[in-house]
Amino acid sequence: MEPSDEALCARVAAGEDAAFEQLVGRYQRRAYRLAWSILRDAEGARDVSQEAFIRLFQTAGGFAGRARFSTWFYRIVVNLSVDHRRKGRWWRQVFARGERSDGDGNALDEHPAPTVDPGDALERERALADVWAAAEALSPQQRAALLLQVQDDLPTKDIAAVLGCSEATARVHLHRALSALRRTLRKEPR
Amino acid sequence: MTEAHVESALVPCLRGELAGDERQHVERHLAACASCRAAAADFQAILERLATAPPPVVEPDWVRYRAELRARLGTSGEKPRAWWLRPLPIGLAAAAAAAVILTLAATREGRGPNGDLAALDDDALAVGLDIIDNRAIVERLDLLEDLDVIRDLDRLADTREG
Ligand SMILES: [Zn+2]
Repeated sequence: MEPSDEALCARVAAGEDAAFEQLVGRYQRRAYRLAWSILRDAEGARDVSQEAFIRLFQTAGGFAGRARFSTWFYRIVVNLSVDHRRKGRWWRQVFARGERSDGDGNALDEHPAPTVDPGDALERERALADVWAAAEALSPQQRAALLLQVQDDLPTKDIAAVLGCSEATARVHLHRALSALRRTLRKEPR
Repeated sequence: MTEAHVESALVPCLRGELAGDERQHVERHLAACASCRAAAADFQAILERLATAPPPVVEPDWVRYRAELRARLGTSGEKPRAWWLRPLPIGLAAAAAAAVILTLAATREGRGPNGDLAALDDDALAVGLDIIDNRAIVERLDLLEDLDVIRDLDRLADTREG
């Protein structure tokens, strides 16, 4: 039987490198996507998710086991993403003065939603791409909440713990996210 | 309907998270309110669609990712910020970027090596807030929420995770 995340984390705390490698294997893609959902920037998502694993390696002993490992670890990812975003805005702002006046349009410009082939065979893929493309317009909190729900199937109270907000606020993030997607999708006939 | 719509309880309801009085209340409302029923059906369809395909994210080369992670861990006592050495996003003037990066590096070094979430320093936060004030017109306000998130996360890390 595969060891649980929590058991692996305890082994990381005891200094077992193999357990760390196993946890990284399990979480690298999900951590990267979570960071990406907040930053929408490949370079930043890579840096932040790697940094989160370094924090995990260094502070695994601080995981008390009262929450799920995923909730605890994702909270680190979100915290670092927010930090990265804040610092990023600072230097972007400096350059925005000299270069462009449109503020914070960078991430979307660098990573636009993939274009879709209009062919009939791709209709289903197109529909799916449309939903995620619509999600680009959501706030970072809404995108992260949505990702944690559909990717990890986290209960709303755990999403709240990861985002550092109340459960009521997490509900509002999810509701607003879905309402916005619903409005956007209804406007786009296909 | 004189009763308020159930709105933000719809998603928890769809996920089976509601219990007791709240669940009864939402179910009663749904039975009587076509608008909320329609929203719930659309939400369900959207969530199912999202769940069947990963987000269109530009993923890294995972082999290289792991190698970089090992390299960073190997020198984690120094907290290297490898991304500062990698190419910056297009459109940035390199010389000016270097100046800002040096400033950021100085801020980061003040954090200490323990990786504690609570180590986000208030001075840097205060600097950030000044800048936010100046940029309030053009920046999206969600950054202010972000700062609250940082503080809340720090508090949670201290009090709950020990
Ligand atoms: Zn209603």
